[in-house]
Amino acid sequence: MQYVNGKRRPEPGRHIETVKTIETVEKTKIIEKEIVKELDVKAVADAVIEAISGKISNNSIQINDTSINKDKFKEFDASGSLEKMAKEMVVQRGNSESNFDDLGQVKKTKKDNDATGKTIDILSGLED
Amino acid sequence: MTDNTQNADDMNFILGEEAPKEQKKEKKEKKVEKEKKLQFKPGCGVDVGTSNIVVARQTEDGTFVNRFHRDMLYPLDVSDESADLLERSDYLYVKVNNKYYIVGEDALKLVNAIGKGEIIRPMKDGLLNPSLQESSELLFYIIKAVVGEPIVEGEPLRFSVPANPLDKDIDNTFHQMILQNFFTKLGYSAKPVNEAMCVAYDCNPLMKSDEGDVPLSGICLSFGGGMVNIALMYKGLELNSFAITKSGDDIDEKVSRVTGMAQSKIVKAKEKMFDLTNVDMSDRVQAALSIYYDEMINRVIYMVSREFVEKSSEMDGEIEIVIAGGSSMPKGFCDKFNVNLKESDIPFKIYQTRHSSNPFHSVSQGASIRAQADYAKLNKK
Repeated sequence: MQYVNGKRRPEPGRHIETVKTIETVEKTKIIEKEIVKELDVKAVADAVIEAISGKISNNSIQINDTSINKDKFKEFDASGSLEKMAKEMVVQRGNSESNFDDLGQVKKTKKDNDATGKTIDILSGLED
Repeated sequence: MTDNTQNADDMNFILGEEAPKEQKKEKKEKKVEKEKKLQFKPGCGVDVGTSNIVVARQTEDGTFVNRFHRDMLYPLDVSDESADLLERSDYLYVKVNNKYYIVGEDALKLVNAIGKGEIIRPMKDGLLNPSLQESSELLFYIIKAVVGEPIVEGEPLRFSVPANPLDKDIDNTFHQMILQNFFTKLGYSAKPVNEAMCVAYDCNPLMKSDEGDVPLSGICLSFGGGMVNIALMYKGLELNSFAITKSGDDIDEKVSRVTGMAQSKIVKAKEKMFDLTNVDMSDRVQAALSIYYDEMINRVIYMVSREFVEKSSEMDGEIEIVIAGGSSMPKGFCDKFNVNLKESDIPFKIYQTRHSSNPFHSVSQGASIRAQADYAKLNKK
């Protein structure tokens, strides 16, 4: 930063923010805030949760007064989307290779067969 | 990930310590052959933990065979040097695109020997680490190789899942779905089972009441790498279950931070020689481990007591607490737990705290018992 006659003078090439520019930015921020206020955030969140859990409403998603047609969400398939994502996650890469078929160290522990049997009897009588 | 990747040249010296590849391979083949001869009962239990994958099956004579492997990865760039290193060593790896990932114990061995880089953990807080999609896929490689194939068509399999924690906003639904889909794809009839309940199925806590001893009734705690899982049960029914974050891994991380030692070295130190009844306070690692273990035990007992008080939980008798999990393995853990428990507000009469006879394998064994019950149920129908 340079000083000329006791006043700060920006270095050559540095952008000078005029009072007008700052005012414009502030005004834009206020307008953006007002737009956000108009959207009911909770309604949006609920709609997303419903869509993800496959409970998308039959006709449309309501965001305050704005109706959004379901057709506009065609690219978002809500039917079992979580399960679909989970299935996709377990697809392994075709070009992977490894130098093992089985893994792991083995530790054996002796258990009383009768005791285990009793526990199995109790558990097989219970609902899941 | 690139920052963690090591050059193969750095680790050539380690090769000298390894046993000849052929000899190891032969031993391994014999081991696998021997295992195949064992007659297993249908019902596979899998403990998908933050630190280890443990798979349990029970033989006809009652013996549990637990197969375990660390779920850790160490990335290595594909090059002639690294290919040569892997060719001459017996390190287990998966190759994906332009990287080798050394898996399991070998990953830990390498990072400790080289002294730089970090291992990748595909699991975090008991769940698949969402920020590491590629390593989550690699985790399936590890699981598949440890679990193997079903021994009967549609063999029941139970995999452990943590409960949702009290102190962090985490939901385990997605984690459950991914694993269920994965095991189903392998040909199993897979279902999740609560981690702490598995400890109950393996250790059978007893409640002393006027009716006599009531089986599968009490409190079980599983101190895992990522979380502590807790369940209150009565006659095998889960009454309340929850988890608390910051368990063994958190201790390692904090000790690493205050001592400046790599976390992988802390893990080794903790597992090899740490004894809570005989802490050498002049050793910075031991001192820090002891302090953070105290903190964890105190915090867990406080939160468990508060949860049961808030839920107004009641049991008609004196109950037993059973403790399991890899992070409960240091000597003296249960004694410390007991001392703190006596001063707590836990709203039950407790006649004893018992440490599982196999703390590291209780979850997998309990899951196998639950899967065997599923098989018995199927055959009853």
